[in-house]
Amino acid sequence: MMIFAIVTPILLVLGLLTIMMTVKNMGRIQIKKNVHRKLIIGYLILLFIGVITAEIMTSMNDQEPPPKMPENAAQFDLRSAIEQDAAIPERLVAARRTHEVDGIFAIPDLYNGAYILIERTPGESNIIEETVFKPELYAGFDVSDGSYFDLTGKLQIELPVWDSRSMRIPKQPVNKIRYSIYHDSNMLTQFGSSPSTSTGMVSGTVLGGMTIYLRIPESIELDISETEDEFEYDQYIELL
Amino acid sequence: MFSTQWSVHELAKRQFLFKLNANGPAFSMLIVLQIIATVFLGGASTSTSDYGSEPFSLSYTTVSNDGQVGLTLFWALIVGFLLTSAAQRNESFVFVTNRLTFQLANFYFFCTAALLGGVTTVMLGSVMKIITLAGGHAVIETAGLFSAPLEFFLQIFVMASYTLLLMLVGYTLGTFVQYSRIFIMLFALMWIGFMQFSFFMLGTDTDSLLQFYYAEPSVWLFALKVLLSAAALFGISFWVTNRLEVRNP
Amino acid sequence: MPAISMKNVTKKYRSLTILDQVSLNIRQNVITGVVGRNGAGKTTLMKMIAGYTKETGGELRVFGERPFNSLSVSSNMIFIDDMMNFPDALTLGDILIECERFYANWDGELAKRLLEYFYLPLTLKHRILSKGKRSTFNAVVGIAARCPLTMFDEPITGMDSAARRDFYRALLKDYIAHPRTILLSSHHVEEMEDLLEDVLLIDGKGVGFHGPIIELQEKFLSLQGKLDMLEAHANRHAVIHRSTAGPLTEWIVDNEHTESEIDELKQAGIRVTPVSASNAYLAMTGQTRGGVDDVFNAMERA
Repeated sequence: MMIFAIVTPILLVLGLLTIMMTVKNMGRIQIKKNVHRKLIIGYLILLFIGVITAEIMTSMNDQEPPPKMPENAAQFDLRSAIEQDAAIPERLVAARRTHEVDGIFAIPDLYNGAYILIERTPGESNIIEETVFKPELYAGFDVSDGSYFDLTGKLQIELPVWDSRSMRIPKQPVNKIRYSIYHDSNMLTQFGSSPSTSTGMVSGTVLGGMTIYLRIPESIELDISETEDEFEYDQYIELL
Repeated sequence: MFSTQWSVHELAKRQFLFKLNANGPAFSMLIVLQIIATVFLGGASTSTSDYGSEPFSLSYTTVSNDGQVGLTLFWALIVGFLLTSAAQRNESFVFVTNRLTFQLANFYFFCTAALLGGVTTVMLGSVMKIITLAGGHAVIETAGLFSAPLEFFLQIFVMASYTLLLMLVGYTLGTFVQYSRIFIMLFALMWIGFMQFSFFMLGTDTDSLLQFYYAEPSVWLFALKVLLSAAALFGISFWVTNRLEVRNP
Repeated sequence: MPAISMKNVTKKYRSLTILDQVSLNIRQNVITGVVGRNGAGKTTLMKMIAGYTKETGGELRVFGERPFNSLSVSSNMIFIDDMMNFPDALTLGDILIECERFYANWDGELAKRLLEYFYLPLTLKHRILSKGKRSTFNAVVGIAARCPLTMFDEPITGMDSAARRDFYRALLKDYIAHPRTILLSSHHVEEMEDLLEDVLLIDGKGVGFHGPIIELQEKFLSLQGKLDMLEAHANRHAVIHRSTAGPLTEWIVDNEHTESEIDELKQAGIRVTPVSASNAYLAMTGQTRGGVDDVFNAMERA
C-alpha cells in the first residue's frame, strides 16, 4: 500500500515532467505561431468530418444491442428446476417434441456438445417426450445494475435428429459471436437521458450448454453406452 | 497625469489575446496527446474479452473515449501548472498588466482551453465510433450529434467543466509552489497522507470528492458546483498571485 | 510634479536591506542616469518603480500613484533589462505586434527600421539571439514603446561598442522628438555622459548623489602634485579620494575652494583640473581606490 502511495506520484511527476519538457521544447523548435493556429483549425475540421461520418455510419448501422438480463436470470439452474418440477421460463425452451419409438431406444454416437437429462416415467408407452433447452450465453457483466447481456438468442443450434430407434445429436454449428460496443466515457454521460448501459468493466460470462430433457416411459429399454473418458465434460448424460 | 489609461477589462482582454498567441504550443500538445490517445493508446479505451470455446465463442469489445478523456484531463492539469511558471509571469509583465489583469487573462485562457478540450474530446468520441463501426458488429450505445444534439452539447459542457476545474487546480497548486517551494513538500506529504488515508478508509473519501461532481444528477446544480469551485480556486490563487513579485531574484 | 517621488522608501528582501530610507524626486521628461556599484540597489529601485516588487516601507509614487499593481503606472511605463522574457512561440515580428497591442504610443515603423538597421530579422526567435543582439532588441522595444516612463536597466549588456553608440544616439534622437522620463542604469558613465541630464548615484543603500550632471562635474577638483605639497596645502577641504601614480599623487577634493585658495594651490606647483562626471562617480563610489590589489597585497604580507 505504502509503495503505491509513493510510486504513483513519482510516476505522475515523471509523466508531468516529460510533457512539460515537450511543451517547452515545442516552443524552441522553429514553429511559427500561426502554424499552431492552423493545426488547431485543421484538427477541428477533421474532427467535425469525423462526427458527420460517424453520424452517417451510425444511422446505417442497424445492430441492436443485445437484450439485458438480470444476473439471477442468467444463472437459472435448469437441472434442479427439472428435478423439483419447478416452472421453467419459456425463453429457455428451443423445442418440445414427442417421438414414438419401438421398444428400445438408443443414443449412439454420444453427446455432441449437449447435456442429456433422462427421466424415467412410470407406465407403458412408446412415446418419448423431448424438451430441448437452448444453450445459454451471457456476457458483459455490468456492475452498475447487476445484469448481463443476453446473447442466447444469437446462438444457432441443430436440434437432435430422431428415428424410430434412436436419437442422434448432430455436430453443432460453430457460433462465433463478435460484439463491439461503443459508449461515451461515463465521465461525459453524467446527464445523458440514456445512461450508459455498461461501465466498460466487462467481465464474466455464463455459458450453459444445450440441454435435452427426455421423459422416457419405463417400458422402453435404454441402450446407452457408457463413456470411459471422464474428462470429456461436454459429453454428459445423466439419469434422474 | 497619465497619458494612457486602460480599463481592467480591456487589458485583461489584450493579455488574453497575447497569451493565446504565446501559448500556441500548449494547444498543439493537446492535439498530439489526443492523437496519441486515439492511435496508440486505443487499447486504453478498448477492452476486448474472449469467452468460450468451440462451438460457442464470444469476442466482446467495449470501446469508449475514456483514454482521450483521461489524457485531456491530464493535459489540463499540466497546462494549469505551466501557466504559473516564473517565465510565464515575466512574459506577461513585460507588457502592460497588473496582477488582476494577469489572473483574469489566465482565467480567460483556461476557459478557452477548456472549451477546446471539451469540444475535441467529445468529437473524438465520434472518431472512436468510426473505429468501432469499421470493425463490424458494432453497437453504438450513446446518441450522436443528430439524434440527440442536447446530449452532445451537454457532454461538451461536462467535459469543459472538468477540464476547467483541473486547470484551475493545477494553476492553484502551481501558484502556491511559485510563492514558496516549501509547498512542493507540503503537497507531496498531503498526497501521501491522502493515499494512506483513502486506503484505510477503503476509498470512501476519495469517492466522495469525485461524487460531489460526478453523482450530481441536475445539470444546473452541477453547473453551480463547478462555478463555485472555479470561483473558489480563482480566489485562492489570486490571493497568492496578488502578492507575487515579478522578476524577483 | 515629479514623475517619480520617494519618501523614506525602504526595500528589504527578508532580513537583507537593499535600500534604506530613500527620498528623492525624479523630474519629468528628463534623462536620469542611475549609477552605482554592483549590488548597490539600482535594479531593486527600478523594479520597485516599475511595480514589479513592493516597497517594504515608505511612500513611492509614480505619476502620483503607487506602482505596485497599478494598471495606470504599468500602461505608462516600460522596463527594459536583459532578463526580459518573451514567449518562445513568438518571433521578433510577433513580439512587435504584441507590443503594439499594449503600448498606446508604440511606433512599429521605427521599431522595424531600427531592427533592420541592427541586422535583426523579424523571423528570428528571441531565445536564439546572442546576448548582445538580445539586448539590442530589448532596447529597440524600449525606444519604440515611447512610454512616458521608460527605464533601461543595463541595456547595453553584451552590445559591442558600435551598437552601444548607436543605441545612445537612437535613444537621444527619439527622446528629443518625443520627450519622456527616462531612467538609464549602467556602469559606463563615460559613455552616457553626453546623454544624461541628471545623475542618480545609489551608494550605501541610499542616494549618494542626485542632481544635474553638471553639478557632478563641478563637485570635485583633481589636485596633482607631490605628496608633501598636497599635505601642506590641500588640507582645508574634505579629500574624497587619494591615489598615487609614480612620483605624483592625485587627490580628489570637494570643489568648495575659493579663487584665492586655488591660486595658492597652483603656486605651490599643484595641478588643479576639473573632474569628469565619470571620474567623480568612480571616486565617490571608491572604484579608483587600490581596491582589489590591496586584498592581494594584504595576503602576500600575511
